[in-house]
Amino acid sequence: MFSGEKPRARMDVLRLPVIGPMLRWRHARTTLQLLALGVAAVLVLHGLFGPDLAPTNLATVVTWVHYRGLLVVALLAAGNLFCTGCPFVLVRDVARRARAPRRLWPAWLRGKWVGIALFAGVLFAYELFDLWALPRATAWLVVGYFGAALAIDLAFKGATFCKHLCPIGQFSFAASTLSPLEVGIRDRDVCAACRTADCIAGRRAPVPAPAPVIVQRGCELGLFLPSKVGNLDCTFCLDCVQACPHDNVAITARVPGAELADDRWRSGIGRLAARPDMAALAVLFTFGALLNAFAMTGPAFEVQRVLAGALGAGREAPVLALLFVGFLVVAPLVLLGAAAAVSRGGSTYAAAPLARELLQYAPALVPLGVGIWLAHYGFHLLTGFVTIVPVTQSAVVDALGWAALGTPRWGWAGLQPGSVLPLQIGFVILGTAGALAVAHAIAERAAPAHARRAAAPWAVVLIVLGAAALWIFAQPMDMRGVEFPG
Amino acid sequence: MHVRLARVPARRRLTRDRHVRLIRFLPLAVALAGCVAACGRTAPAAEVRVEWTLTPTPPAVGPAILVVRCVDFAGEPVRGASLKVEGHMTHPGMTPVLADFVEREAGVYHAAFEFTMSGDWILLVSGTVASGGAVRDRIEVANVRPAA
Repeated sequence: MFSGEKPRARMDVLRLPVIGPMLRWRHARTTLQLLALGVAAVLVLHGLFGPDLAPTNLATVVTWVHYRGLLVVALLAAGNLFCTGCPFVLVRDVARRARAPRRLWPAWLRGKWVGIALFAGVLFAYELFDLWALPRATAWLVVGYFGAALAIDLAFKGATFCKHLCPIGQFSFAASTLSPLEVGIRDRDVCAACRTADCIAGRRAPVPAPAPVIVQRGCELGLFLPSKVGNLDCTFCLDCVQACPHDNVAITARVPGAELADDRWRSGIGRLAARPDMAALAVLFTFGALLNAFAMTGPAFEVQRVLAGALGAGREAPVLALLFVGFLVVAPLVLLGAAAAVSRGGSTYAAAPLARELLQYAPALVPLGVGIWLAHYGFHLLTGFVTIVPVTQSAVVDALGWAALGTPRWGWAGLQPGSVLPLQIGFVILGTAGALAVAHAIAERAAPAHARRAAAPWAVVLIVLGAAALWIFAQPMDMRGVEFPG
Repeated sequence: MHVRLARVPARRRLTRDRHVRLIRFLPLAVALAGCVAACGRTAPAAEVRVEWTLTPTPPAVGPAILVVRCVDFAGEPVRGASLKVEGHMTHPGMTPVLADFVEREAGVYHAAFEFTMSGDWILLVSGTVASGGAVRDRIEVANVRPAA
C-alpha cells in the first residue's frame, strides 16, 4: 500500500444489491433449509423405495455425485453455504421447541477428536460397504444423520453436533479456510462500545419482562465476533447478522488460506498451534483425500489383493483397516515427523519437541487437501452432473407410473472422463502451490531468521504429496462395488 | 450472563404438544418406512427366459459383445423381440453405455458395445417380444479389467 493512501474498505456481501437484502432477510436460512429438507426427503424416499441400482437412484446420484461436488465448489466459490442450509439443524430447531436441552457437552469430549474419529469412520464405511453403490444404505445414512444430530442436540445445548461431532461439518470447517468470504465485523469501535454482546449471547426482547427473553440467538458455536479469526467453526448461519443491534456484522472478501498461517488467539478455538486436534483434522483431511482418491484406482485393487494374500484374509475389513492405518497414521507420522525434525533446527522454538513443530506446520497441508478433494469430487461432478436429468425422469416414472418429465435420457451424463484430467492436474497444482505458500508464511512467523531453511523440508513433503496425488489421478479409474479381491 | 426464558403461554403449549406428538411419531414413521423398504418386492413372473454370454472373457475395457438367447416356457426360441442393453457402472454418475440387440439366429440376439472403464458393471437387458410381453434381465459383470 502506498503511504498516504487510505486503506480500501473490503467488499461486504451484505451491502451488495439484491444478494445483500436476500442474505439479511430473517427467513433466508430457513428457506434454504426447507429446500434442503425437501431434497433430503426425496432422496430418502427414492433411496428406500426406488430402484436398487445406484446410477438410477436419486439417493446415490445426488449424495455421491452432486452433493459432494457442489459442497467443495461452494466452499471455494463463497463459503460454508451447505452448513448454512443444513436441514439437520432445521429439524433440531423444531424439535427443541418441544424439548429444550439442559446439559452441556462434557468438557473432556470437547474439541475435534470425536468429530475426527467419525470423519475417519465415514471414510472407512464408505470404502468397506461401497456406500456409493447402495441406494438404501445411503438413504439410511441420511436418516441416521438426522437422528444423530437430533439426539445429540436435544440432549446438549448449543450447536454441539455441529461443533464437536458432525463429520461433514469438520470437513467443511477445514476446507472453509480456503473460502474467499468470511463473517466478521465492520467497525471495531462499534464492538468496543457494545455492552450487550448480542452476537454471541443472543438478542433479548425489549419489552419489560420478569426475565429476559431471547428473541434471536447469537452464535451457537461460541465465536465472539470481535475476536473471531477466519472461518474455522463458522457455519455461516448468519445468526450474528440477525442478532447484532448495531448492524455491525459483515461478510467480507479476504485472501483464501491466509488464516492458516495466522496464529493469533481466536474466539472459540484458541491458538491453532496449540490445538493438536486441529492439526489432526488437517492431517486427516489431506491424507484422507489421497486415500479416498487412491481407493478408486486400479493400483488400489492390486494393493488390496497383495495385502489380502499376505494376511490370508478372506474379508475386506482387515485389509482395508491396514490400508487406512498406512495412509492415515504411518505415512503422516513418517513424512511429517521427518519434516518437523529437520525444520525445527531453524525455528525460534529450537528446544521445543517435535510435536510443537508439527502443530505449527500442519495447517499448511489444508490447501493441498482441498486441491485433491476438488480434483476427485470435481471429476464425479463434471462427468456425472447431467445424470440428474434421466434419474429424475426415472424417479418421476417410479412415482407417478408415467413419464411426466419425458422418457429417461440415459445417454445424458457429463464431460468425458479424459477431458477432466487437465482440470484435475490444475486443481492439485494449485493446491500444492497454496500449501507451499502457507508453509512459507508459517516459517516466516516461526523462524523469521531462517524462513526458507525452516520451510524447505515442509516444501519437500508437500511436493511429494502433490506428486502422489497427480500420480493417483493419472491412474485408470476402477469403479468397484461388488467384489473384494481377497 | 444469566438468561431465563419466559413462561410459555397456554396457546404455545398446544403447539408444543403437537410438536411432542410429531416427535414421538417420528421413530414410528421411520420404522414403518424401514419395514416397507425391507419387504421383498416380488418380480412379476417372466414370460421369457434369458441366457447370456459375454465376450471377451474375462471382461476387459474395450469392445464387448453380449449375446442373449431368449426362450419361452416351452423352450422354444423367441423371435422378433426388440431388445436393448443399458450398461451402468456401480458408481453413480458415470456415462452409461447403450446398445440395441440384433437378432442373428432364431431367438439369439447380439449387442455390440464398449466397456469404457474398469470396475464393476451392471447390464440391464430390456425390451418387448412380438406378443407384447416384456423382457427384463440384470447381469452383473464384476471386475472389468483395464485393456491389456
